Amino acid sequence: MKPAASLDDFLARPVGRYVVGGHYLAWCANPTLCGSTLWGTVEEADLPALFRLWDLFRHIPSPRFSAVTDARYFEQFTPDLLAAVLGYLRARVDDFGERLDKHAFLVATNTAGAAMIGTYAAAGMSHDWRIFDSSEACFAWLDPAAGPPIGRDLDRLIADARAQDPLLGALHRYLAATKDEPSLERFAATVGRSTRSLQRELTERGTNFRQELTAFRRGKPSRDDS
Amino acid sequence: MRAARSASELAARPTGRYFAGKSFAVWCWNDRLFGTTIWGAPDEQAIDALLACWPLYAQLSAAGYSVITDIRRLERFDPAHYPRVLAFAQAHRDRFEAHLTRHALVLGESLPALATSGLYSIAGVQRFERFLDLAAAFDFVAPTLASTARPAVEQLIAAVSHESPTLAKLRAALREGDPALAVDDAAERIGLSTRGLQRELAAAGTTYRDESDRARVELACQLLDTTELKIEAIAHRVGCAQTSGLARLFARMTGEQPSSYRARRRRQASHT
Repeated sequence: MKPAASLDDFLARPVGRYVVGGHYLAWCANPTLCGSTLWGTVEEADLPALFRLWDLFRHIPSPRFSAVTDARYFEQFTPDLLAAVLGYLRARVDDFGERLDKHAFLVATNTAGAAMIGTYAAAGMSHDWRIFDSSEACFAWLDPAAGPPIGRDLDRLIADARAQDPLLGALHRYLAATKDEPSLERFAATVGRSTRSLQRELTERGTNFRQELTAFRRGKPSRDDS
Repeated sequence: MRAARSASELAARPTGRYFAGKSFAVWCWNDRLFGTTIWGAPDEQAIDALLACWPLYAQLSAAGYSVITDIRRLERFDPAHYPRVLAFAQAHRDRFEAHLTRHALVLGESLPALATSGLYSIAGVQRFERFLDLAAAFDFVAPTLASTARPAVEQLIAAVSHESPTLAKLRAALREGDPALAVDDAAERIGLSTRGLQRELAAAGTTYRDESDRARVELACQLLDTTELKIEAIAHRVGCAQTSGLARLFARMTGEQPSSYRARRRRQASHT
């Protein structure tokens, strides 16, 4: 997939391209498979872009397609945005039902992912949507032949996009550079934080040290951000 | 219903009894109808006690039971407890659902409530229906018991959650009378001055307008769910002169229009 210059550019011609915004990555691997990843905290100012992003279905040329909503790194909606998000989703129940073949949600083990799923369920979506905690299982369900390689490419793109976050960028550089066994304590010392506050900050970003280390060892992301 | 001093005492003699912990109560109307109500911000101790109580459902009745889980007043779901509650739900799901007849989850549309319902879905708990109010939940799980069990459960919840007695009386007056009652009339009905009522509601963290709006939307939901009344007639029943007034109120409280709520609920009902 090739990068688009902006969300407008991406939406004008999505197939085979992706776009990275402040809190998101949106992509369209082929005419029948697209998706988005959200990270961080979604605030009121982010909603217009988020809704345009979720309206990606209007720009997909195929009558029916599959989609991924990746909320593994999503932190939260601020509570006052819930009604707007629910209103947006409820207004699209029929559109999603008509256009979506399979819809996969990727979530981490945290309340933010659960709130995303609960919000989606409360909207009353009627199409086939399922929940996964790994991109391998998710993409294997969506498209057993083409999905898993696309999932690996996307994990790399997501890691690159999220590495723009200073703390995660520092963690990725540490994992790539350290000669010792990587440890939470040693990394905390290099960024001048207590292990407890580091754990909290990683949790706020929808991840933890072990998860980042496992992803690094699998060799998925290109971790050298320098 | 009578209080049990512990979860094991409840397990030994469940019918007509409840066990209340900090931030939750588990009740057993009979050996076929159980429920849990959770409110406030459950701490670790409350989560431990709740997780110890929940397996009781499956132990108490192998013949089939229905459950009402009421989280309308859950104010916070501490992210630190999430992994443990999820692991519990995953481990107990099959046993819980094996003899389950019906399960109603009563929730508002707050973040903790949606995170809880999302946790159910993530854990693979599938057989539950969502409701905005307790009346609709009772109609779903035990219609023949709605007139006896519901008032008793509401009374129990108000008592154990230390709900302000004034707030409990006001909610009952709005629910059982006219939800669009003027504040002066409501105050008179529960034996307070208007100012006294407003002061007590402020102390309980709410306002008369919020309580009345909530009661009006609850009644509108009930009428949309259970009658064929036109939206215009429902608007009048809940004290809105125009359908546009009901549409605004309904959208503010629920995020959708009355007509789309009705269509969605009927679509969901036809799928189950």
